[in-house]
Parts: sequence; C-alpha cells; structure tokens
Amino acid sequence: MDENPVNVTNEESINLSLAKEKGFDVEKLNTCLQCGTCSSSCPTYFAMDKSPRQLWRLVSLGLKEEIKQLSTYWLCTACNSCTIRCPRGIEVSESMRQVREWMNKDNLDATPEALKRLSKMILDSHNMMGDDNETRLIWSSNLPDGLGEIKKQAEVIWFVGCVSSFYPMAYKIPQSMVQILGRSGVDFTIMGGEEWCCGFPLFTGGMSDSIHDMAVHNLERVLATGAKTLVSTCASCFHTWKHIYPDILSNFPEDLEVLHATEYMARLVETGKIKLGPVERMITYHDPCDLGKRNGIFDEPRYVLEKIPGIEIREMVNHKQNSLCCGGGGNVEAFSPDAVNQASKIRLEQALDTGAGYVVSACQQCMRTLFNGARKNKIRLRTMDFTQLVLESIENRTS
Amino acid sequence: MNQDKPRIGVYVCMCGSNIAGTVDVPAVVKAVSHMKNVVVARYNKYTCSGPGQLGIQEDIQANKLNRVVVSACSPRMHERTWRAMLSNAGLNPYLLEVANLREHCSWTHPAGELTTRKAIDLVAAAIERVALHNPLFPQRVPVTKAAMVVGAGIAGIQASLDLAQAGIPVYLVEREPSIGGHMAQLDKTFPTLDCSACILTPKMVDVESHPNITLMSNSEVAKVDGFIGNFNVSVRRKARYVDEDACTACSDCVQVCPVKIPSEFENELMEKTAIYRPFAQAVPNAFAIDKRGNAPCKSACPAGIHVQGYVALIAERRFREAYDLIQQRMPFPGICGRVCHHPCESDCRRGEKDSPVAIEYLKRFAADWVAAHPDETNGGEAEAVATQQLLQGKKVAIVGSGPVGLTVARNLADEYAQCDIYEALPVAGGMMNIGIPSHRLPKDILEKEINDIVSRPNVNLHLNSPIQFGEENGDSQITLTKLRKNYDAVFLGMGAHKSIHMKIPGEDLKGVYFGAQFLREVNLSHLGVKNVKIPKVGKRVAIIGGGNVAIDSAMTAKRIGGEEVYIVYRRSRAEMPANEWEIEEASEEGIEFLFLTNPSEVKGKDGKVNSIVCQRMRLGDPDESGRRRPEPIEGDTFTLPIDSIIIAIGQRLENDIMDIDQTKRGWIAADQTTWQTNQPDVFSGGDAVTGPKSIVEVVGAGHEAAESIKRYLLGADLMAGRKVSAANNLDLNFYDPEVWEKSKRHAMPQRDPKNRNDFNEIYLGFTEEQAVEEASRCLDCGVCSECMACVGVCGAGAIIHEAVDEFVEIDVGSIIVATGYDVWDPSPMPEYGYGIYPEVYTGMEIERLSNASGPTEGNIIMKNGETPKRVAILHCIGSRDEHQQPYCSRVCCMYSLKLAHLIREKISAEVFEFYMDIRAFGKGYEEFYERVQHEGVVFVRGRGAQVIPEGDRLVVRAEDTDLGRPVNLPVDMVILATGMVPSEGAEELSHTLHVTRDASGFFLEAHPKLRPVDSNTDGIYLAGACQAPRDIPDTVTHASAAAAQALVLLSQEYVEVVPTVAEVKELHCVGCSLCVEVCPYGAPSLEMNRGRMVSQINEALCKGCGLCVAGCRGKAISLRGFNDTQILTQIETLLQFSMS
Repeated sequence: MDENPVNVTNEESINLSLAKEKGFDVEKLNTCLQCGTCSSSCPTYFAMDKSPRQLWRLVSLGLKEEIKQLSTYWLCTACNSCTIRCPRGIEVSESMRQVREWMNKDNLDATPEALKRLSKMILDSHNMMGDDNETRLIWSSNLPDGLGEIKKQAEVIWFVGCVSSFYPMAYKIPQSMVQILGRSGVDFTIMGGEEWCCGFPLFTGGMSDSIHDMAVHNLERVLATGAKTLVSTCASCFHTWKHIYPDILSNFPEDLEVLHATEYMARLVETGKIKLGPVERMITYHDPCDLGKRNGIFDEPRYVLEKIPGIEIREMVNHKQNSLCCGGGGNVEAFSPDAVNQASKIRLEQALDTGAGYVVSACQQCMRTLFNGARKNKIRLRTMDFTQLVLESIENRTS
Repeated sequence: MNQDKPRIGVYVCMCGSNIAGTVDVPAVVKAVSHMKNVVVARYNKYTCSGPGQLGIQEDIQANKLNRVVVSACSPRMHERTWRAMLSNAGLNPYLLEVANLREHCSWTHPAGELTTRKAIDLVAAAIERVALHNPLFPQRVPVTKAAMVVGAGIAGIQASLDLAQAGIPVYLVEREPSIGGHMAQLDKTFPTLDCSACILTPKMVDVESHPNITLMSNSEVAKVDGFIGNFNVSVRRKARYVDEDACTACSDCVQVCPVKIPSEFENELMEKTAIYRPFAQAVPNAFAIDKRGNAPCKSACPAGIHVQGYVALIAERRFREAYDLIQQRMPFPGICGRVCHHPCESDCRRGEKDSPVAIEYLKRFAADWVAAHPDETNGGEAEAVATQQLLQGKKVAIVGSGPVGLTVARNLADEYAQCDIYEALPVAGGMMNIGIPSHRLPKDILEKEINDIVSRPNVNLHLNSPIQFGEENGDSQITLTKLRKNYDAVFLGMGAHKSIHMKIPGEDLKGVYFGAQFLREVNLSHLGVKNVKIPKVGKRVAIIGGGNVAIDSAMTAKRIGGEEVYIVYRRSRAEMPANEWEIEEASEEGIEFLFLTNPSEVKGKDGKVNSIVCQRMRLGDPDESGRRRPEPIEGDTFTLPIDSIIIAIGQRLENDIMDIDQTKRGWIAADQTTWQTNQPDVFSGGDAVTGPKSIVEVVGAGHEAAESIKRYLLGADLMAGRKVSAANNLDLNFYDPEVWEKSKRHAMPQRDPKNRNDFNEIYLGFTEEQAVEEASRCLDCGVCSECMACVGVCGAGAIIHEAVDEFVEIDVGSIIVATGYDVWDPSPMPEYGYGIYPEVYTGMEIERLSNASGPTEGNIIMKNGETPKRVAILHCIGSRDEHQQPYCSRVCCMYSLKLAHLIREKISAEVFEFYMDIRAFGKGYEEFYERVQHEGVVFVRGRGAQVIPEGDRLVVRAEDTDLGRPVNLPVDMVILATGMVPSEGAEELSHTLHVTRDASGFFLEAHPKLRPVDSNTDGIYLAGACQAPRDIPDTVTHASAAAAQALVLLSQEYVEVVPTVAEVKELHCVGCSLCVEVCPYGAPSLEMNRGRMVSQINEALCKGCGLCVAGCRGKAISLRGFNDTQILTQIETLLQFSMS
C-alpha cells in the first residue's frame, strides 16, 4: 500500500516540462478515462510495478520523482496493442517511449545501465552486438552458391538488419532471402559493412536524438546505389525506414519505396517472378508488432502463405490487429529477460493451441524470441521465418 | 428603390456592461453622429428592453426617420425584435441594419481604443449600408393541413398520435412491414420494468385504428418536392407480395415455405421463413414476402423454371412438390435432368465460393423419385394454378413432336385448345428421342414424359404424317395450306434433321455416315421400328466435328463395334462446342481426339472407305463467332486409315418451307419474341428457327410461342408487356460469399467407364440423402424461391408473387423524421469476439433471449441449451471510443443494469458489470442502480479489454482500476453493451429531405438548446433517436415536442417566406444552369420565358445562402437585401472610415 499522499501542490508540474518534449501530447494524455484498457491489453503488465493506466495518472499529476522509480515504461515492449485499443485514441505506446525520452534526458539519472551499454555499443560499433561491422556478411560464408556480387548500383536494395547479420540463430533469414531474390531475377544489392544499425533500438529506448547520424549515413549509402525500392526483412528496420527516417531527415526522397519483405514477396508472387511449390505443413502465423499493429500489414504475408500449396494456416486466438507481442520488443530483454520469457511463453501457448507444428513470423526479433521461448519453456513448436518457408516452397517447385 | 432621402437613426446599445465594458459607447455615438443622413444617434443601457424600443419608436415618429441602425448584439439574437419594432412604428421592417458590437468587439477584444475604433467602423459601415436598403415584402403561402411522419418506432407512433388527436391527417411511412421499431424488440423497460410490448402494442393498435392516420408500412420516402407548408412527397410502396387487407394472418403459408433465413427482428438468433410476419403483434397484422430479386439460377434458365424453388423444396424432402414446380415450366423434368447444359449452374453463386449446386442432377432426382413413387400426391393441397378454359373450341395444328412442339401442345391443351400434332417419323419426341443415345437418356424416361403430353384429352398425335410445302398435289398429302385452312393457328416445330455435308471428295463412299442420321437409325432400331437396322461400323471410326452430336456419335460408335474411335476436329479443345463434361466422358471411354485436324479427302477402295487424308491446322485470328479461325498449315497432311466415318458438322432444315419466309441461312424467319412468321396464323420455334439448340432453350421458345398463339386466338396484342426482360435485380448486399462456409458438391454416381460398352445409362442418379444434402447447399440468393407453395395454401388468396413497387404522391404541410437508430454491430472490434465466440451477445440480442415471445420463449440460455452460471456485461463497447463512436449513447448503462436485474431475477446467475462510469441520470435511474447493486450484481470499474476463450468458458480481461490489479474473469456468457448509430438509410434520407446531419450521422437540430426538434429545413422536424441517442421517455417527449412544433406550423393559414432571397435579372441570364447545380435547396430551375430558357427562383425554397449569386457567371442573380452595392459600400466604409 502506497501511503504517501499525492502532492498536488508540487510546482514542478511535469505537464510543462513534458510539453516541451517533441510529440508528447500531454493535453491528450489528460483526456485519459482511467479505464484500464491499456493495462489489460499489455503483454508485460504482470511484471510492472504500476499499471500503464496508473502511470498516466502520475504523469497528469506531475509526480516526476515517483515516475522515476517505476519499471512500467522500461517494461513496455512497444507492441502498440494499447494504442490500437485506447478508447480516447491516445498514442499510448508512443507516450511510453516519450516517458523514456524524458527519463533519459532530464538529468534524472534514470537511464538503466543496460540501456547505456546498448547505446554505447551501437554508437561505437554501428551495430547492436558490438561486433566488427565489417563482419556483417558472415552469414553468407557457407552459402552453397555464395552471395553473388555486391553491386554498386541496383534497382532494389535489401536492408539486412543487425539481428540477422550477427545472431547465428537468425542467419537462416538472410540466407533464405538472398536465394529468393537471386531466383526471382530481381536486380538487387546489399550494403555489407556499409550498413549501419538503423537506430531503432535507441529510438525505442528513448534516445531518439542519437540516431540522427546513423540515419544520415544509411540514407546516403542507399541513395548512392540509385535504388528505387528498399526492402527489409526486419519489421523494426522497416518501420524505421518507413516512418522514422522520413520524419527526422528532411532530404528523405519521396520516391524511395520502402517495403517489408512480406509485401515485396507478395508482389513477386503476384507478378509471377517467384513460383511456389508444395509444402505440406500446418502452421500458425505470428504478426510482428512493428509490421502488423504498427503498419497494418496483415494481409500480404497471409496472401503469400495461402498461395503455397499444402500449407494450412491456423490462426491464434489473438491475431492480426488483436495480435499478442512475443515479448521481444522495446529492448525489454535488456531490463527483464524474465518478463520477455513469460510473454513469449503466453504467445507460444496460443500457437500450440492451434494444433500447428510451426509458428511462422516475419521478423528477426520475433523469431529469436519465440525460438528462445520455446527452448526455455520446453514447448514443442518449431519457429520459422517467413522467408525460410517461401524459399522451401520455391525449391519444391523447381526440384 | 425608395426615393425618399434617407433619414437615419443610430442606436448604440451598452448591453449593461457587456458592450460598454470594452467599447467606449458614447465615443462611438459621437463619432458617427455627424455622418451623412444621420438624423439622431443615441445610446441605451438595454436597447432590447421595453423602454429602449419605445425610445426608438418615438424617435421614428418625431424625427420622421426612415432608416434605423441598431448596434448591439448578434442579429441572430434580436434582429426579429427590432424588425417588429420598426413595423409597429410604421416602417418597413427591412429598413434596418444591425451592427454586431457584442460578439464582434466586446467578446473578442480587450477594452481599449482599438476596440472602440473597430466598433465605430462597424457602425459607420452599417449606416452607409442602411441608406441603400429598400423595403422588402415577405411572400405568403397557404399551408397544407396534413403531416407526414417518417418512421414508425415509438417516436413516429407518438408524433402521429399527437397530430392525429389534434385533427391533422397523418401519413405514417414505415420501411418495415410492421410498425413498432426497436421498442417492439425489447423485453422490459428501465427503470420501471414495464413490459415493453405491453405498453407499446396499445399505441400500435391506436395508430392502426385512428381515422386520421394513414399507415403506409413497407414503404419509403422516395422524393420530396416543395417547401414549408407545401411539401409534395413521393412514397415508394414496396411490393409486399401479400395483399395486406386480404391476409388473415393465419400463418398457413409459414408452414409450407421451404426457405429459411435469419430473422432480423430476432437479431438472427432464430430463423424466419421467406414469407413472414416480423412478430406476433405486428401492425398491420399481415404477412410479407422477403424477395431480394431474381435468383441467378432462375434468371439463367431459358425455360424460366423456378430453379431456387424446386431446390428449396428438395432440401425440405418435398420431392413431389418440387417435381410439380419443375413441371410448370419444364414438361420434361426427367429428360432435361439428364441432358440439360444447365446454364443455371454456371450462374449459381455457390460457384463463387466452391462449386455450383448440382441443379441438373436435382431435377433428375425429382423426376426419378416421382416415377418411383407414383402414388405420392402433392400433399393433398390445392392445385397451384386454376385451369382456365379460355381456348375452348380453338384448333391448333402442330408440326413436329419435338420438345418445342410438345411444349406448345401441352400449354395450349391445358387451356382447352384442341392440339393436333403431325409427326413425320414413326415415333414422337423429335431429337430428344432419335438424336440422343440411350446411354445418356433411357427410352423409358422419354416415353413416360412424352406420353404425359400426347395422352391428354385435347392432344391428338399423328405419327408418320409428314407435311408437304408448296403446291398441293393430291388429297392424301397434308400440306401447310390445308392445315391453315382447317386450323385456327399452325405451329411449325419440325426441327433441323438434315446433316450438312463437308463437300470434299469421297463423301459418297460406303462407310460414310452423317451424325444425325446415324444416331436416328441407332435410336429407331432401339425403339423397335421395323425395317431400321443399326448401322454397321468398322473397328476404326473417325467422327468429324466437335459438337454434342459428334460426341454422341463417337460414344455410340464405340458401343456398336468401333474399337479405335477418333474425333477429328479442326480447332482445339477450347473451341469445341460440345459440353465440357461430355468431352470428359468420351475421353474416359477411350475415345481419342485429333485436334487442329481437318479432313480434306475421303479415300476408299472398291467403293468403300479405307482412309481419310487430314490437313493439320493452326488457329488464326478470331472469326465472327469469336472463336479463332482455323487455318491450314501448308503441306502438313497425313493419312488416317479408317473403316467408317461419321460426319457431324451440323444440321439444317429437311425441306424448303416455300410458303413461309426464310432467313439467308435457310432457317424459318420468325419474330424472336413472339415467334410469329410472316403469316399471322403461322408460328414457329425451336431448331427450325434458331438452328440446333438444347432442350431447355427450345422449351423456352415453346412457352413463348404458345403464349403468342393464345393471344392470337383471343385477338390480344402479341407484344404487350413482353419485351421487358426481367431485370437482374438481385440484392448482392444480402448475400456475402465471404461468410458462407464451404461445402462439397456431391458427385453423381456413375458406371465405371471400363464397363460402359452397352446402351444402359451411364449415370445412376442421387440417393434421397445425397439430393437433400446437395439441395441444402443452396444459398437462397433471392430469399423467396418462388416455389409457389404459399399460393396453394393461402385460403384468402392474398398472395401476389407478381406484385411490383408502386409510387404514391402525397401533399403535406409538414414532415416529421422519426427514423430511429441501429444497434451498433461490434464486429469491427475483434478483441471482444463478437461473431467469433457463440456466447458473446449484444444487449439487443439478450433482449430477445429474455423476451417471452423471443427465440427461447424468455429463457436466458446459452446456445447449447444450458443456463449460464456467470455473465459479464461490458459497458461502452464501441461508445466513447475515438476509433468507433466518440459519443455516449446514453441508454447502455441503464439497459445493462436492467439486463443484470433480469438475469439475477430469472436465472440467478452471477453478473459482473465492467464499466468506466455509470450514467444513471434520469428520474428513478440512480435508484434503480442502487437496487441492482442490492441484488448482488458485482461492479468492476474498468473497461473490458478483451474476451478470450478458455476451455468451454470465456475469460474477460480488464484492469480493476480501483485496485490497480488485473482481472481475468471466467464467465459463460458475455454481453456487449453496444450503443446507437444512425439508422441505415439516414444518409440517403438526408439527401432526399435536404436535412443535414451531424458528424456522427444523426440528423442535425437547428439549435442544440433552443430548437431541438427543428431541422435546418423549415417545416421538417426531428423526433427521437434519429436526432441523437435517447431512451424511451426522452424519445416520447421529443416526439411530442416535434408534433407540437408541426402543429404550430399547421395551425397557421399561411406561412411567411423571408424576402431576403435570390432574384434573377432575366435579361442577363444565359440559362447556363450553374445556379441549379450549386443550390442545395433546389430553389432555381430553368424555365422557358419569351422563347429562351432562363433561371427562375422558387422564393419559398430559397434560403438566401447566396451560392447561386457567387456562381452566376453573368451576374444575373442577386440577393435581395444583400446586393453588390450594399455589400461593397459596407466593406469600403469598414476599410476607410476610421483611417480617414
């Protein structure tokens, strides 16, 4: 029981200081109905010391010191479920991130050590693993046909992403993607060691100012290739390119088309550039939050999956706009691996209930999180990325 | 133009301190008092007060003022007051100008010099402007003493009764077949728990019996012309298909209707039949038929069979009735059920989801079933169509006993004409009998169905009786001339029996047969006709051609000795005219196809065929038939060794019909609608006119020809009403392929192709179970299947399937809109599982479950029949929600409390209410809330965020916001308290009535506080939930208020129309009609005046908005009281006065 009376006479009302934050719509937050929909839609509510709803109350009352002590906003996976369901139309997920911005910035010394380390690593090494950025193509070393040529100019540029490039568990994604693109006859290239972290982990962590240089660098390299289309196999990189870069870079070209791999694949299937063969399998599709709930891309991946002969898709109780987070978002892993594990367990159990043997996603982070979750919780489910399944289908067609 | 020199009085109001607090009023008066034409300038404390007005009136008298400027508040507030004041002082009320100092200066600016200067400018501008004013005179228009009320829920009922009691004739227009609206669906009403029906139905009966009320149910407002006091409304009376007055509401029709669809009144919790009455207490107490247009299968059938009807009857196991229904339009159900090319199935909408219903097989099933059950009658019910004896004594000769001739004979004989059929061959049936092999169509089926017709008392069949054409030569010959002499009419249906030759060398060799003749000989010998033998074919047989005759010839050849049978066709498989399934059957039996191959010569030895030389072809550009034209590949030929050839490349007429006009291609020339030839008494149809067609098509022609002959015999117009093709008006919205579950089409059992070397039938027919299951796949596209079963049982003769919509014109002085609301469908919020989990309901659905007249007779039970032990009610679903409806619907809290009470009372289940705020604001409402709390209902302050299944229960997830802890509550039933949205059709009605709507789509009141029942169109008032969500007491109050406002209007003899409206200088008008297009009120129209079209303004409709003025390119339109000079002068003064 919190015995402290609420000090409403505190002149340090954060309403004023927060209003200075870019995009922090405190007036909108003050319309909160205190209905608790955000809390009960939150995949990590169980681990929070105060519910999201209570956080908004503290924000409205301007109780800065109390907010500083909370875990709530550091446990946000940025899955956007709260935003989609908030009856007042408050950008709840974004407000969580804004609280992080504020805690990082306002001389509160509230930034967790894990986030400080991550930030330093990304800023120093240009990737979220702290590895030598020149080793970005390590996943391609044991490809049967090699990587092919990295072109200076191409129609399509594929943004590989850090997780795929550095986590061996996720190598399958770029390995599949490069073969699919190769077979489709698309004129494409990648940036290799020139690719830097897109900055999404820092943006999500509430350090939006620090991603500017990364954005400038990445855009420069992409423009140098003359590509008209940028394709990403990572739902978060995709979101960054699609919405964050155009917002922070005034020279972001309007005609650069940014697509997620699922959208691009749907196009390749539709135009007959890739032909799908049979894969006899019962699967369930997990909507990545950054792809689905944040960008509304629900139908394209399903369109492609349904085109694969023999595939039976079983939907989980929570799917599409109602989808549940795997737990992998929002850098929560850095603050509470237990919360992530618990969230992924809940999601995996939903997948298991469908009777499917495979859970297919379209995000490197989802694949990692679900894979780890299945292993730790001894859940007999195989995890697979969308690209892997598409490649398998293509191979079954040609063989 | 008022020629008097302007003498202006200027009065600046202090409005207490409202104006004087920020504007230096005396300074304003001082600044303008020396302006030109200003005779007096004064200020008052309250100009609108009695003394204030009196002072001005005295000034007018004393100083002979002829213009007045009042500088006070908004003219919206007091312009009428000042105008009346001018009138009372003997001045024209339009010689007034109001300068708005309060809203434009005081309330928007701080006190100070600048504000005062702005006030001076505003007053000065008004002074300059008022000098240019002219007297204006309002037009007076008489009022029609009648009212229309649109929508007959409780609001419309209340308003109608109030008006009717006051002596006003009321036309009450209701879209549904019964009045009552949503209130008729409710169980109890809060907070008093009155039974909704008990308090509503007496009012409904009052409406029906009130002499001043004309109830128009099943009707919609189609068009509204006119203006306040003088509306002309066109009401569309939708076809009810049941005579409202004749119907006794006995429900006999419901017992026989085979179509069942979800009932809207029961919120789809139970089914209704296509002929239905929404609920037992319906007013008017009459049934209606739900028709959603012609089912595609029926539209596609050339014979006009009620396809959906017999399919529906088969699904109900009413096989005999199905057969009789088919028989109405198809005399050969067993035959057609075997050989039809079934265009009905091609158009079947089931095919959009999976595969079409096997309609043809169902028809065959009905025929076979009736043949196997000869003693089953049509349930002893009355014959559907009363036989008429119109054609008694008339004689008709019919040439040819094929399907078209037999159809004509049957139809005319049924109306008592004597029909003599002349058949050249020794057997009847035409191509059905001698053209189709027995493996496809067994002879016993044919015999039965042909006999059904030729054995009728008025039908005489003459076999072996060929007709001669041209000159008569001898008495024994039957000639057309003779027939025309001896009969009142002649029908020529002799078909097309002569095979077309290829005109290549060797066609006369022995071993060359022609398709139609070949099949004829085989069939005649099967029929036991003397002197006809089955033709002998060798082991290697080639059939030339790609139509059905070619396929039938090939499969027949295979059965009479052919071992290697080829079908040689000059195009590819895609172009083959034969039916796809027949091609498939032939391949199954091992018949080989040589595509893109054309015989160029038949070679033989000793006068007998031994080979054909074939030319290989390729496909060129499409020809006039749309198919790609085959072209020979030069030099690419081969020789096919062959023993017999059957040439089946088409047929033509056997003889030249000398007495009758023929087409260039040699067919009989007959009108395609009436089938009359150039001789008025001679009709023709079928293959002889159209070339070879399928049975269903020639039967269709037979029906039309019989109708024409009947009309001819009765001296009626042959064409009347016939060219109108039945518009395919299917309501596609009703049926959404997405929501139907897939189902598998039943395959017809058939014999193994390996053993099919005899003439026994290939297909074996459906079993009863297969037929019923297959028929149940029908989607009831047209809803009513037109099976006509209701017609047979309706003792009152009230059913009129042919009814059409009618339009009625009604003049009224006032219109009250009372179109109510719709319950919001929560499907767009999948997190609540509505439509996904069966135990998630809307509040309105629970009303029906709780209602004694509902689907469960008042038992609140789950779909599995069990009583729920715990129920959650989720408030505000879709309400107070930026993503759905931002507003509060006002009724949901209270109905949720009521439902909680009913559940506690009836089944003692635990009830949890998840809420954000409880809004119990009315009289007795808070007390009711407390009562429900007493009754043990648990209130959780937190919005339900999600409903998920867990085992066989549902779990509601929410945050208990009082505790700040998550709640996961397992329940058996979830009730979503959804709110009200504007009624479907409100948007369309708003355009029809020129009534605007608010951002949420409800009709917009003229003023939210002071004019809550007026719409923004004069003479049109709003009642009830069409204006905003409200509960029953508020709705009744609002409706009575609307009736009172309408009475205010209707009690006047005249209405005055504001004179500040648009006027046209006709000389300047070029008749471009732009004003007509831009006017939202329909005031301008182009009329002929002195030889040219010019715009004219209906002053009563004009609202003086000025859109036409701005739009008029020739500056021909101006607004009285707001002309360019007046406005420009005012603006110029504003811009210059205080600067100068």
